[in-house]
Amino acid sequence: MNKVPEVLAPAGSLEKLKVAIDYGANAVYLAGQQFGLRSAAENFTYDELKEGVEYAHDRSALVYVVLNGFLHDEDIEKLNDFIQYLEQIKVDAVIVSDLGVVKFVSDNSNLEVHLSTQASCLNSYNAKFWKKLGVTRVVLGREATLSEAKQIKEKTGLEIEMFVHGSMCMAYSGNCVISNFTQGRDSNRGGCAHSCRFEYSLKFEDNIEAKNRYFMSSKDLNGLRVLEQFVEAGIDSIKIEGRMKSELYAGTTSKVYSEALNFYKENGSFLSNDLLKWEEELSKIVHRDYSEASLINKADKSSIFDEREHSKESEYKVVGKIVESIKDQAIVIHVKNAFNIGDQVEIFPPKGEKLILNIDWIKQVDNPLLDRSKPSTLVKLPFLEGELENSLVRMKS
Amino acid sequence: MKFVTYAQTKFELEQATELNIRQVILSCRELSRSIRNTASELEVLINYAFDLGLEIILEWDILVSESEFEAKVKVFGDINIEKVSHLRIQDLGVLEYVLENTDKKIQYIAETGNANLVGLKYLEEYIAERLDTLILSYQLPKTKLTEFRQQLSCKLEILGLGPILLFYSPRELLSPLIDIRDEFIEATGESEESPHKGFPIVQNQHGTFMYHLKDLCLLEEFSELEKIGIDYFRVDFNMIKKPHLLRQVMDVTNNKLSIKDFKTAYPKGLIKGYYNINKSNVLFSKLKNYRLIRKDKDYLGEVVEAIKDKYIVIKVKSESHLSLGTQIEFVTPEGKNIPFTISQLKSLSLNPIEKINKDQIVLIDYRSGIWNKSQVYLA
Repeated sequence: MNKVPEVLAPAGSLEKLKVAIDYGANAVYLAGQQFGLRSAAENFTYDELKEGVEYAHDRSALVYVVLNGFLHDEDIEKLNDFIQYLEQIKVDAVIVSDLGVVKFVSDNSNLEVHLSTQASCLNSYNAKFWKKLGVTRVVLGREATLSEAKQIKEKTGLEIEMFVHGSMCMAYSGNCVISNFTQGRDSNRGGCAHSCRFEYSLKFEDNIEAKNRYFMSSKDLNGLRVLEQFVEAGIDSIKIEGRMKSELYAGTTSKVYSEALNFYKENGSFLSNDLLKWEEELSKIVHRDYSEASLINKADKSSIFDEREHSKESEYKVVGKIVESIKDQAIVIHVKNAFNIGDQVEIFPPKGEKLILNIDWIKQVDNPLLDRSKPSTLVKLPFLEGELENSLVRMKS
Repeated sequence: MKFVTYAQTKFELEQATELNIRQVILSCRELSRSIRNTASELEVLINYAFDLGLEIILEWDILVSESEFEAKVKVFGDINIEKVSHLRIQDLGVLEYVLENTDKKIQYIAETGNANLVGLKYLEEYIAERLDTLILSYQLPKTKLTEFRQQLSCKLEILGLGPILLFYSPRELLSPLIDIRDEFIEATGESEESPHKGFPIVQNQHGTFMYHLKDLCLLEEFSELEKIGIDYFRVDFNMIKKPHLLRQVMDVTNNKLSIKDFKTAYPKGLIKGYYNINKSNVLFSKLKNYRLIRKDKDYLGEVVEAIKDKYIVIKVKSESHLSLGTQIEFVTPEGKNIPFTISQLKSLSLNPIEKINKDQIVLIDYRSGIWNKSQVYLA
């Protein structure tokens, strides 16, 4: 068996955690109600954290909790109870970006500390600084190439985690405070307003203008085609961005990257007939144009997404999730987006191939027939054989 | 409190001397975000500043990738640092390098994050006797500056007058927009999605930098900062390129020029930033509906569907059992608390059941005013 990196997926909520793990992620990262960088995400209560850790550990998956805000003293005062709780429920590591937080966690717990990408660690000297403080893994800045990552790993002996998929900061992470000074929201404590995705008009000297450009917006990262280089570089963990994204996103990315790495583990290469299938799956989730950003060469102008956000509708949309299968009668789906009789949907199970279901009828839970489903409802659909509970359902837009 | 400022010309060094400013920050374009001098020009300035009796701070404030590290070390190594008294750095890797390979005093730029004493004290402990000054974040309010001054023993510096860096990217973001191939490209940017217009943007060999349209100015707070015990008040004219204004800065602090006249003469708007108060986390509570976040105590589950006059569907999400006769309470997304007694339970196959467990979905009687995402608690 060949050694491959762990697949580390985002878990913006307990439901997403379960989806990511069911669909193949080896580890998930998530946040409590404080101390992270996604204030708008659902995040986890104490009981949800405990349940999430138990769910993951029962399935041999790991849980990392982000404490990656640049915390102020008053935040740190509240941190001790939280890290004691994380230790008590056997969280596998915390992901930290702030020097004071790394020091505080190291001094006050036995939690393993991973350095967040937010700390912009880009060179081996920098990594050595953190190693002395007890950090065991570094999530490199997204500006690092795979060959640089390999060197940093070799020179420091630290575990290396790198982003493989998802949205990108255009700035060095942690080095953007646009939101702080234009929206009054601290981007490094969870309030990023995504000003880099705005449309800008620029004026250069000699009255040259560039109007209506998205010059600070980055394409999304997609490292599927260079997974072999991740393996060759000895990267320990490949990380998928997106705690704010949907269950379908968490499930699809977890399944694609874990299937690809499992294939490599058994065959020693990615020359799989499934490569095109995996790429197709990644095309079905909401995304900006894809780029390999700086994984191979430093990101150039081709990495800029000079388009309005959401200008391109995804080819597929989430339909919902199967919540129960009633033998020989119906499957029950929790609907996220409406569909009609006559539509064809894809059932995307955690394991195995997708199934096609023709919507010949739709019933309300108490069995009256419906012409179409509505979002945020439960409906019954024609029965399909198989272990389909908790499968995600999608359809062409 | 002393002044410290940048110099990119002999004039600026002479002016600093004349104005009795003892420390100047010098650098070259290979190591600096904002300084444009070549390495040979830097060498000339170092010698000149030394001859003028100035203390020379060599700034290396860019972040450095693994593959660039050796090249930057070579640039640094080619600079004769004998006449340099302090090294000013931000990248912790550069800090490691200069601690190992030089004996110079360190001025560490702690402007990014570093808003807590635990981290700053660790820097003091780690750099130890080599630490001369911590350059504190320009987002710290005066209360924090006061507290940090009381708790830290090294010298402290803040940006007193100069550009507020908002964004630092290693990517070249301006050259794709325009047919200019200069090493330095400048523009101003504005967005209809933001009320602020005219952000200065610079692209150089290190990437792209965007600044606030107004500069930070704490000149009116000079005396207060002095009382707090801040050691250095940094003046940075690298962006506005009007070094002669330094004399007016001194005149303001010596009460020879009014702040009003200074502001009139200054080429940009001026703000105090977060000096008086930093409330940049207060809006977070509005970013999501906290009533949708469950409370752990007595939590049972969530309403996933409510069909008027027919039924409500609940997903049980906790270990607590739900059975006939159980007294529950709904908390709706609008925050209403609605008590309810379970009198009927049905499975999704519509079979009557007596109790259900975690992760099961069940139908109960309809009750008006209860919507999807209402939380369910044991009463």
